Amino acid sequence: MYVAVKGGEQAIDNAHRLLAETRRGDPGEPDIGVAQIEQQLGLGVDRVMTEGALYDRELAALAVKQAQGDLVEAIFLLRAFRTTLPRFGNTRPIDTDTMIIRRRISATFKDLPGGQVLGPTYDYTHRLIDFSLQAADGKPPRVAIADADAGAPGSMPRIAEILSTDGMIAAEPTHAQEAPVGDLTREPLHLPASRDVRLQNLVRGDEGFLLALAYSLQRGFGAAHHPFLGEIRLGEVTVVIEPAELDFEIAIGEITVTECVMLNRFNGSAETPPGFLQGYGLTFGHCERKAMAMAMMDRALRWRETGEIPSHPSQQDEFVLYHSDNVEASGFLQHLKLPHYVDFQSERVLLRRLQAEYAAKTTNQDDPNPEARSGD
Amino acid sequence: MIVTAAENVLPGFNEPTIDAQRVFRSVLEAMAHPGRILTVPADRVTAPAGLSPAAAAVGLTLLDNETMVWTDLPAASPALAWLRFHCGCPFSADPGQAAFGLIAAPDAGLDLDRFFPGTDEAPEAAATLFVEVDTLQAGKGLRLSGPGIDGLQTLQVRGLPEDFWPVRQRICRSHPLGLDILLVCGDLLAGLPRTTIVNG
Amino acid sequence: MTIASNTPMTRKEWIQVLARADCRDLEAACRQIAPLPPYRFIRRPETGMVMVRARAGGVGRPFNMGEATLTRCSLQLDGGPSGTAYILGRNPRHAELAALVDALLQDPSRGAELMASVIAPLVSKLRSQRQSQAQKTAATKVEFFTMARGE
Repeated sequence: MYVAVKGGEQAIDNAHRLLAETRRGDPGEPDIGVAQIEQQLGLGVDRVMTEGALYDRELAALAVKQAQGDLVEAIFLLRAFRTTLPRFGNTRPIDTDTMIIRRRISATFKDLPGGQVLGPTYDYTHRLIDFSLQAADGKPPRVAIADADAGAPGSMPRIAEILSTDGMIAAEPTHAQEAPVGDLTREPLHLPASRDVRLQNLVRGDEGFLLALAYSLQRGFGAAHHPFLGEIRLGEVTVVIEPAELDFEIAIGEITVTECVMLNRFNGSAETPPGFLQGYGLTFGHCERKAMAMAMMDRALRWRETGEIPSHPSQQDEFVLYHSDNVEASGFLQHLKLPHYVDFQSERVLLRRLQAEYAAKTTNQDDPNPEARSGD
Repeated sequence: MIVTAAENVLPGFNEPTIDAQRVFRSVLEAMAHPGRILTVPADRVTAPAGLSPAAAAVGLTLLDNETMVWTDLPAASPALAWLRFHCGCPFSADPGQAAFGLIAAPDAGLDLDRFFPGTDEAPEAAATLFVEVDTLQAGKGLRLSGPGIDGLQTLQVRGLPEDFWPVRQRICRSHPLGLDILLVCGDLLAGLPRTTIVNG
Repeated sequence: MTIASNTPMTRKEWIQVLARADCRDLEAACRQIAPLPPYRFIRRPETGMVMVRARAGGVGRPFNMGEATLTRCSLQLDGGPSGTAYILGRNPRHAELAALVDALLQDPSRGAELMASVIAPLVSKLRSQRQSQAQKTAATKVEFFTMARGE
């Protein structure tokens, strides 16, 4: 039970002013621009867009600035902002086959058709602090440029396409176009959740939570077999809509996405032959760790299709899906800062009674050694 | 799909946010005080042929691309093109699928039984109907009572089919199921929520 | 975005170019078309969202990924054609200018001229950005070799 409290307006107002000053920091330092955050803290911005479930780099960068770099707070700000906007409709499903690829790697086939491009990656860096960044001289770094004729990458078929030709992987179940698509921003989560709803939940889900769960799967709490990274793709996909007033669909621009396919073996059941089953990860912007964790979790939650027995928290949709959202989780946790004076008072009253009862019981039992117990 | 050439479409609200808020307020008032006649602030929208200013303003305010609409407006009417353009709402041929019904000519065979009255689990899923009537006046005529009415509210309505009131009464008797109705005429609006008891 | 260079551009194609253009370039291009003809809004620039859909596994069941901000605008030249714009993001000026240029391009008396003065430079800028990106990416193409153990 919450009991309303009054007062404190002036103190709250002053606290917010102090926050603004703290956020600004030393006024002798230049104010950080939203464009700078967007450009130079881009991976943080990408995470905020993905988990905030709103693609708008500038807005996400502003939220990061307002939240002093607290990404979960920034995600909350973005989620709150989106509720003020009308929704004009849905896009055609984005086609990641036609992605303008900036990075594409596979850990399963070294010579996969289309080849591998590393793109901008932290992989193979030595994780040594680079002090040259501290003495920024403003010069743009030099980048290697391939010949113009090497520019256009060839076709890059999906890993599932390659595997399906030799019957190693089950095709993605497709549904009729008309099948309604679940939407967590409109309908609350119902269990068991269908895969469309699970995927939406996982895209919005907290990276840290999904990472930890995926890690637990790997360490033996759920994944019976080794997961393999089929493919990661980073690049731009075209957003296509069909406005009511035009008799044709139009592409309105590109958004950056990261896509990940994970493969896990299953040994077959009475109905299903053995094979690989894929997990799918997809994020706005460049969120590679998140996309991988999401793909692991998507695969883990597909046990109903394979007849696997779920035996760990990471495989239970209720446990995973209800706890993945960091805006909900953070709100529920942080509400504990609100006044609970009456709750706590009643807790103390109850405890006093229990202690009295306990004391009465121990006295009646005529404990031979009361001194030794009191230290519990 | 019917293509809506934008050049044949009249503008919608001048200030979408503010105008929609004003109209929404009048719809709230109308539903909170059944039978009370309100003037919709519809002066800032030019209604297309086939829609009263009140229906046009309420349509712009309540309909969007996620509300399924059933209407008796002819498929080629400018009003339909206008709603499609500004609200982006999908239209259903089956009234039972519609969240909103827009009835321009109720005396031409309006069948209330075909609309969805909700379920016991989700009574809020019932359809809301905008019904264009010929006249809407206070004073002698129907006697309305129920929640939102202090004692008795009177209302004169012309342009509804004869069986409208008995059928509505039968549907709304399965409370909490029922239909919520907004009667519109010119720039006037009166609410008729499912809880209102109407006596001839 | 694929743009055939020798066939005349369709309305769909130029709408797509205008949506992707940098607003500053559009602004500069529109300054060249002075005086701009009078027009009225059918739908003032309006910012909302569109739900971005994707498919499980890239090919399977559709799901809702998250929304993207979107700004749209419709206007009509006085006694002339109407123009429409849908752009990603929240720039009302971009939507207005894109809708205006869309309307002007449908005017047979000035379409061809605008195609050359406005659309063509936008297309070539988008092309060269894409080309430069592709070359930088291609420089990171990698060949891994499997080492035999115990040799």
